[in-house]
Amino acid sequence: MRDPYAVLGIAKGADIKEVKKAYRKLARDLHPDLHPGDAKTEDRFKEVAAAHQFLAAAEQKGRYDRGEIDASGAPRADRTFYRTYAEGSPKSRYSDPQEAFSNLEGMDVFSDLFRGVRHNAAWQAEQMRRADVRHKLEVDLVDAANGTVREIVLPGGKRLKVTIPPGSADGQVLRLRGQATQSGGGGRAGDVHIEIKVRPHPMFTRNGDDIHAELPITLPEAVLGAKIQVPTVAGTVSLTVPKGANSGTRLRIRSKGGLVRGGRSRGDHYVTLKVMLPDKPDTELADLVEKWAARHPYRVRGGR
Amino acid sequence: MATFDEILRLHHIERVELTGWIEQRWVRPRETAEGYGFDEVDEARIALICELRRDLMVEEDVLGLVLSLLDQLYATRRMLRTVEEALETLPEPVRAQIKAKFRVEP
Repeated sequence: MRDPYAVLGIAKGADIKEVKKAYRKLARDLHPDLHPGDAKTEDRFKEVAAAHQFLAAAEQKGRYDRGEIDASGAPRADRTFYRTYAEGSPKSRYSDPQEAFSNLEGMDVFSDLFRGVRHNAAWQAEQMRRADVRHKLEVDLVDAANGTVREIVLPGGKRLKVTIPPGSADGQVLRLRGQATQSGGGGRAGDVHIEIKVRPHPMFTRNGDDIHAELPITLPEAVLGAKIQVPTVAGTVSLTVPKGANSGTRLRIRSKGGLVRGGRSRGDHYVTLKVMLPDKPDTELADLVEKWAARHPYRVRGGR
Repeated sequence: MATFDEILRLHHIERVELTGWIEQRWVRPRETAEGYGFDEVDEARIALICELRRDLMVEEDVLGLVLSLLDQLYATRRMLRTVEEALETLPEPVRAQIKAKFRVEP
């Protein structure tokens, strides 16, 4: 292989951002599927893509070795580009007769040629109204973060198992194709659209894949530091509260947040500490603090 | 023919992504009793969508437009090929006359 940096037209040792930028620009100009008429682009694109893949893989190796990412992504085998198929049969599933021919129909010479193509049976069938069913499904925040399976009952009495994917967001719509019971008037069965409603949680709030929670700690835990058990959506984990932790201090528990979409890894769990005094005023503590404060005055508001 | 899960694995796509693409009709797999079936055309199209999304950073909402334009481009090219084939059957003088129409004068 030629020097991958030279193939991409960038300086040797350029960082990954520059590699990606150069690749993006070249791919735009060279991607065979975007330039169906140009036979020359394919080889050049393959070379550029290989150079990018090589450098990206080297970068990934570094990141993997440093523990920044997990293992995923394998080199892709030799491929056939979409354009090879796209110009094949006119009855291809991806041809869109109506759109493609409408702007050419004005030309008299062509009108005879193209009449008839528009009446494509498959396309017409697709246009037939189907009886779709809408359904709302409320799930717990923890279930939405981890993914779960629910059973729903459709208006007609049909029972359906619904897989809520991990990382589901409030308002997200799942579609189950052809699962609606057939409506009387023929045509194919409609789809079931399930809108997910995520119920708020008493402790946790979600920010993307990350979970945030307030964590009350005792005065001794704050002053002396402690190892405490913390509930997360990924189960209970132990957390070390550093000595002298304060109210408002935010600590991160890595990879104990919600599952990212697809479920391969997790976001983070953040706790914001809240120092709690004992429920009832305590004279011993009051005496102690009085003596301590006389010797260690400190200010927390305004100037110095 | 590849199954839904095979496609997810082969192309490193998330389940919700592919489901969305099918919903948008950007990908049109066959529907069989065992679920979706993806053939080579579908796979090539999925590879193209992946590259547009990841490498060329085409936003999801613009992607629909890009695919629609590409579909129109390919349909038009297919049509021109038909015209070309039709031209081949015409007598030589007529062909020459039509070709002259396409010639760009310097």
